[in-house]
Amino acid sequence: MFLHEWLRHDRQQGDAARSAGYPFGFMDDGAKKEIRRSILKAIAIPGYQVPYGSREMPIARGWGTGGLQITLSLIAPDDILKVIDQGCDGSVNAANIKKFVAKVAGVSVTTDTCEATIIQTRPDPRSPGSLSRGPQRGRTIGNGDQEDARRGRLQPDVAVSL
Amino acid sequence: MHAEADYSRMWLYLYEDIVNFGEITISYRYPVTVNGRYITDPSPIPRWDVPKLHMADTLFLFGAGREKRIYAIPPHTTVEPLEFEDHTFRTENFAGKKCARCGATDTFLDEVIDNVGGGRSYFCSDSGYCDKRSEQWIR
Repeated sequence: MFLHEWLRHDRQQGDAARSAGYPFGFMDDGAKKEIRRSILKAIAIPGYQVPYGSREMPIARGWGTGGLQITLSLIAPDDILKVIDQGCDGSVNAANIKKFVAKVAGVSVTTDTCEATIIQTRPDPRSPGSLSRGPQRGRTIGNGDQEDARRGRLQPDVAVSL
Repeated sequence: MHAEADYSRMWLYLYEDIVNFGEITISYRYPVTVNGRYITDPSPIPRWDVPKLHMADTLFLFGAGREKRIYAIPPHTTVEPLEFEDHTFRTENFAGKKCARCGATDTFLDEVIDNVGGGRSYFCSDSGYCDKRSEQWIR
């Protein structure tokens, strides 16, 4: 069953059919377990790069698959998700990741940094950044997110990148 | 490179920038030392926000899908950007500029050049924060 068929099926059947072919959060439990263990090791050794088996995702590698796998392995139904691509909530990449996670995990989404419990950010994969990007290609986690953090209003529990 | 903490390539990377441009021009994925040991690529996080990673309350997780690596900056961890004694780390300077939409002076600004008139204006790069500020301003 293709993803779009499953999502359509899911909408028709309601939550009861959420598991039709796919577990909660799209990835199988074994993959989530491996990724969570890798995350624990990564936290235990700050900055150390932990190898893991990167899974196929329904978006291309380099467009947020690493962050997506972390997000999906950590997310719980009561999480509130924010996804930004270079600071922008509305860019195609960010909007698609947000829609995808919202569908496979049933979480609510927000553009408000203070509300979010998980923020996934995306880089610009194309070129080294310059200061004169278009308005729709803003920044990543920084700005508002951290702007809010600086004023002590935050915090998201987790920020996921890449 | 990591096992022996031999980061000469990263230092050379900064040095080449100074040779070419007279300053470090890396605008994002600025190499940082985490917890005094590993040099880390804070991939999408711009140079502007690197100082905010230092001793932050947030847990930052990085997943590189292509490179098959996961790494983390835990909360309350020291994060120091690489810098030379005579070329210290600094962020972009937006003195005298403000967001044309919400008026913020303390955010990272994108420079937008008008296709017709050629005029320059600046907008908050963080759309969510700018929207929130704009709403408050309208009220």
